Amino acid sequence: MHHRIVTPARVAIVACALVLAGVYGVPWLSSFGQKEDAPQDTKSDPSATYQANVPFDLVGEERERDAKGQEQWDFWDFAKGWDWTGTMRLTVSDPVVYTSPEAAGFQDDGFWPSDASGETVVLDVRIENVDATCRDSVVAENGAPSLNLSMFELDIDGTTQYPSYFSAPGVAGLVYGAGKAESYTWPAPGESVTARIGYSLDLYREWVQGTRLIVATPPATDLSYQVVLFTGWSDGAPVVELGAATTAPEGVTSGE
Amino acid sequence: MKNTKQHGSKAHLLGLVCGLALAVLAVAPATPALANNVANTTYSFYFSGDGATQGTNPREKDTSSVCYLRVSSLGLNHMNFYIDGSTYSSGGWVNRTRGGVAVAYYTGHFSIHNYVYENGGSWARLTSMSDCGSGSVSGMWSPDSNESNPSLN
Repeated sequence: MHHRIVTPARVAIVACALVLAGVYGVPWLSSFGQKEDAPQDTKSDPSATYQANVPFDLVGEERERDAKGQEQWDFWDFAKGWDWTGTMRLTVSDPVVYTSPEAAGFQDDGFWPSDASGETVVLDVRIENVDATCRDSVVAENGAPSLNLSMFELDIDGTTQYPSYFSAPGVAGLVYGAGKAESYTWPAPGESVTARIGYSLDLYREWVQGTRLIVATPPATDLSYQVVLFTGWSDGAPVVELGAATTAPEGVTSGE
Repeated sequence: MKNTKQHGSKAHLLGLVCGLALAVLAVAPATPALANNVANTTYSFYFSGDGATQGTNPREKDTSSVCYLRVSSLGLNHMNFYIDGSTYSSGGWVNRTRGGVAVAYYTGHFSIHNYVYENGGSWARLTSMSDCGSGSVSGMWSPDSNESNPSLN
């Protein structure tokens, strides 16, 4: 008579299978029967590639108007996508990794992501208004001349992340309340501001673990980084190549 | 006897105070959930005919608040917007728009009521579908909002 013996190895194999089914099977199964329309796929090369720590100009051009006087433009014509006409000169720093948003100098005003606690990638962006004028349509909608810092998306190893933290001179007269107004700044012509923008690595890791079925992600200093200058259309959007991330020294909270 | 009466009065008074406090708590409006992920991000959708759907990348949704939607340009008669929710950023998207769809007929600042958070979702994305031909729509949105804007649904 053949007896089945429950060995520790069999138990371990079954346990591993159950864990893997739970981690990967649930999201896979739950995607069945749902619409899966992907956002704009990035297929084209960037229309322009800039480098970290090197100033570059973003020149906004006038948009066409339709019969109703409403602005119209091709979204892939990025010069018409910026919130301004004229020249803004930008300089983007290399990424620095802080242990938390607080360590990076960001102040919680109640509008942080719910899991705002972990490693934070920080960019300092110098924005010099050479001769730029905010578009009338943007002023009308936002209540004041303004530049939305959410345009600085961060591509981490091929995965685009939205900013979670902002620290920049504010804009008076915005129609938005606290929280939403934080991502806006505007240097007057001839002036410049330095904005600090933070990205949650926890959100990146959650994303990667869900989409690439990778449990462990490399340390922040081993990842590659690139800023995508986003106007709502990702295919062919201009990018800023960044160097490797460095870890902020203990006790350092400001990149100024 | 006197002490007992006093204790009894105090007990009644305490009960009355507690009852009133509970009553006040019961009728007081619930504190609205703090809207966390309120930063505006841009969307631009172009449609070459009916039926196709376009959407943004997923964003974290932290509260049961409405989504904020700004329609800056609308190159069609109207546009159908949807808020999809999921527990994962990688997929499993389900339309969680109240009433199934939020239709914009003109530009402006709007709210879209949704049930992403109520259904356990922690990720949301804005999608859009044209049923009136070719054209484009662009603007800003945020998964959470503490703004008071006209609701599309």
